[in-house]
Amino acid sequence: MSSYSKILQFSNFYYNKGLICAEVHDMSGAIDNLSKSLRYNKNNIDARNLLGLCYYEIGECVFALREWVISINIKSEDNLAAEYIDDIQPDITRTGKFSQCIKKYNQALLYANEGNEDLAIVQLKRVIGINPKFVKAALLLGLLYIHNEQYKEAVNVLEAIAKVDANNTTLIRYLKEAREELAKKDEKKSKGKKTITDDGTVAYISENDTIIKPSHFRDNATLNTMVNIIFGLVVGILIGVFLIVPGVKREASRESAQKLVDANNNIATKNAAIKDYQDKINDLTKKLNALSDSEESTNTNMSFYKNLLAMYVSFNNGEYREAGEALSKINEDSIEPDYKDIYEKLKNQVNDKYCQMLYAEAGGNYNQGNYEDAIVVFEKIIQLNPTYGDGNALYFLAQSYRLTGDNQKAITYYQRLINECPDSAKAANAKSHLERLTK
Amino acid sequence: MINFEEELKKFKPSLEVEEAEEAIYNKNLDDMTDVLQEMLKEARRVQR
Repeated sequence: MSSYSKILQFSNFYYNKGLICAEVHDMSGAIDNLSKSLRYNKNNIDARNLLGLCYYEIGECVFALREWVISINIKSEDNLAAEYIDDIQPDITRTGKFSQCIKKYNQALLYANEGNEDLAIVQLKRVIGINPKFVKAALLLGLLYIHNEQYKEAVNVLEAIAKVDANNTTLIRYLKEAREELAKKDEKKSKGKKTITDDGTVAYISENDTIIKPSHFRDNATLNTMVNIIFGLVVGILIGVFLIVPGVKREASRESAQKLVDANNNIATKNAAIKDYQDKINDLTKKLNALSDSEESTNTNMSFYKNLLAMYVSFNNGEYREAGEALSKINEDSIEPDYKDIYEKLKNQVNDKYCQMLYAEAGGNYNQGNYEDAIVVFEKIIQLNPTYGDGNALYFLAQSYRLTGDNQKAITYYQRLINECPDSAKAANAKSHLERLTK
Repeated sequence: MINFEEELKKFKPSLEVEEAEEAIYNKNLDDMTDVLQEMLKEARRVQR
């Protein structure tokens, strides 16, 4: 037999052991064996599904869900785990039965750790009310009862949960302790019990002594009657102070604890609802942002095509200035890659004509001595085509600056002409001007 | 005799349903076959 077959055999062996344990309600044993089975073969779907069922049975629905989800991931078709998940789906929503159970259990544990045992007991009773098979909650409740010396309640809770998980070692320990303490208590009570004998006398047994009281006691003395009345009144007051008042106080305390737990539960449920609404608001905000982005992008595209169309119409009508201005408004980032070449060709044609027109206008201004106006137009030309007219635009821009007295800018543009168009006809003139200005 | 404080320390908060995803991702799924494969790989590496 190959090693792999042996491994599979071990896995099946532990699965069978787990199945037997589950059948006799030994959930701890079943979980232990099924976990071992999966340690040998993680793909043992039956073992994984049964492990999930065992977790579910003891109220650990998150672990149950974990095993079933993994099971479905391993085998997505014809798998019982899918049905199990569908079945518990309504109970594992944020406000579902199991979610509330877990939240309340965690809250009770917090109360217990903080020393608020009354609150913890009230909360755990509710948990057990919702899910009577929640082993962890029942164990904690049993422990708290034992600590409060409420052994009878502890035994009741623990015996009930023993039907779900019979071999849980913690449960067995707690149950043993609670039963022993309960037996001791009963024994003490029976020691102080009174018995009525055949001759009508009443006998009290205390430790090893038997106290016998006559059946009739006659005393007609008035003083004794008065003493008895006063004694009765005192006893009545004492009973009121030591027995009734603490009872009333306890009841009031229990009621206030109950109210506090109710308020906490309401807050928890409302918090869950608020979180739900918050999630919805976040989703809707995301959707709104996505829609805004999409609208913005559509507007950008619309503006791009409008300007492109305006440019084309103006260019066809020979209105090169308008065409050039429309071109300057176009955002080149919005062009789709497929149309980039066509756009570039059109742009070059428009720019050529536009620059020609601007150069004629700037030249006219320069010749008439309107250097300020000439500068504005030459700057536009330089922006569109820095070396326009074999550097002539740069040269006359520099000249215009020099003639208006802005020598610093004139130097910048002479230098640019020398750098960018070193072989142009105006480069030599630019050099001589530059030398003169920099002396 | 049960020591209440010690026993109480053994109780841990239950995982809430919202934490199920984390529980699934954190689950160690290695089985005996994975361990054997790892051992074989290790043995081959040592032989080389």
